[in-house]
Amino acid sequence: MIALDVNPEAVSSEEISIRQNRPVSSWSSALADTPFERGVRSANCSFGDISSSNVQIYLVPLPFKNGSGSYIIAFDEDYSHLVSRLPWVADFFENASFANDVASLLPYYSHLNELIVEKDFDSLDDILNQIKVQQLSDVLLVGVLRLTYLSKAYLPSWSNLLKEVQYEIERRGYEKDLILSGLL
Amino acid sequence: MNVKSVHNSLIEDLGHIAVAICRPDKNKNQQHIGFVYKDADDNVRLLHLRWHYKLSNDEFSDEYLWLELPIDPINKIHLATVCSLIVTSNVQGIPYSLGMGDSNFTETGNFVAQNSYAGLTCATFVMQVFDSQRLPIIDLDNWKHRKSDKKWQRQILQQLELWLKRNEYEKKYIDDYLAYQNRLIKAGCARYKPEEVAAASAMGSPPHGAEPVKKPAAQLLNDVIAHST
Repeated sequence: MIALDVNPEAVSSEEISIRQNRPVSSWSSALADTPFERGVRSANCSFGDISSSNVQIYLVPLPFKNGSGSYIIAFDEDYSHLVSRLPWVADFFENASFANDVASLLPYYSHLNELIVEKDFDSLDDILNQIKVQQLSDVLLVGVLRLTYLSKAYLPSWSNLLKEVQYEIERRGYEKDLILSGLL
Repeated sequence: MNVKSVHNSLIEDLGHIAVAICRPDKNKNQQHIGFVYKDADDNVRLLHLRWHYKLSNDEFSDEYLWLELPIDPINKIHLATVCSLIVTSNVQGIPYSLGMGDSNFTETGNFVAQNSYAGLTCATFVMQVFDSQRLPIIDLDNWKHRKSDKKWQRQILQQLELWLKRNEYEKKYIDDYLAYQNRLIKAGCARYKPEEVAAASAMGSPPHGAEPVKKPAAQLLNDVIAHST
């Protein structure tokens, strides 16, 4: 998953509803001069590069309590394949920043459990590999690592995720040795 | 070290999860332990291993004292979610067994055992849940078998035998189950008392061996007895 480095302008709810979670190839007027396209053009890769590659662009709601717009994420081919195999993953990445209570966490914990029970470590590792720690809630930062710790020998992305989570935990002002107790 | 908090205060004060302990029968020297936690509907539930294949997720009862865990709020929410996951992942129940060497939880709350006779007590159930999340509370290397353990284990085994027969388990299952438990007793498997595990869960800097837990567990037991009368 590639998060484009843009400063999103306010995007109308109408524009979001038309384009949210739909790949750029399905848009009828992809090159229109809208805040979204201006955001894409200001990003590190150009719109033309994106549309001619296997990257797909999605509008995702802002993960802030007072956010009413969206931000732009470009997903690579691996992500598209992952979501086509495991549709719940799209919901997970869209809402992972909000999941801080039992009610919102439990469905994701159950899905991760299913993958472990089925020993589908390839899919599990794909998910870990796609995670952007900035988009995980505080509990998921810890929870994903704890839930997968005993399987880490089968998950090449686990160690790198741990490193990124350590950095992110500190960036959020928490004590990493306390929060990640038993994992370090 | 004292146990930091032994509450019989309002359960609304519970953060997300705590350890709960009670004496079910005030005339018997036997305690029972489990988790009290808030589930997905924000209901306060008691998750505990009541008996052989009797994993229960009940409404919390005033009969229990609860102990605050020295864990940050983030990990408490994680543990509370794991408790909910254990409820849905182990609908077939969990066997009762005097020793826990042949069984554990996966990190996502599935009980796994090397044979059909291996299981947990109410206390080792609590220990294993913490352990599965890399948050162990008991230092197993510093917890030895005590002579008095055997007496309790034999009493429990007699109760189990009666219960299995009353519930019409097959004779072969009963014989094999009892033989397995007897092997554990003979091998000197350690007992972890509910008050010891509860005290350890409330003490900072885990995991704890038997010696540091001794005094807080005795204090806690007094509180539990007082609460039961």
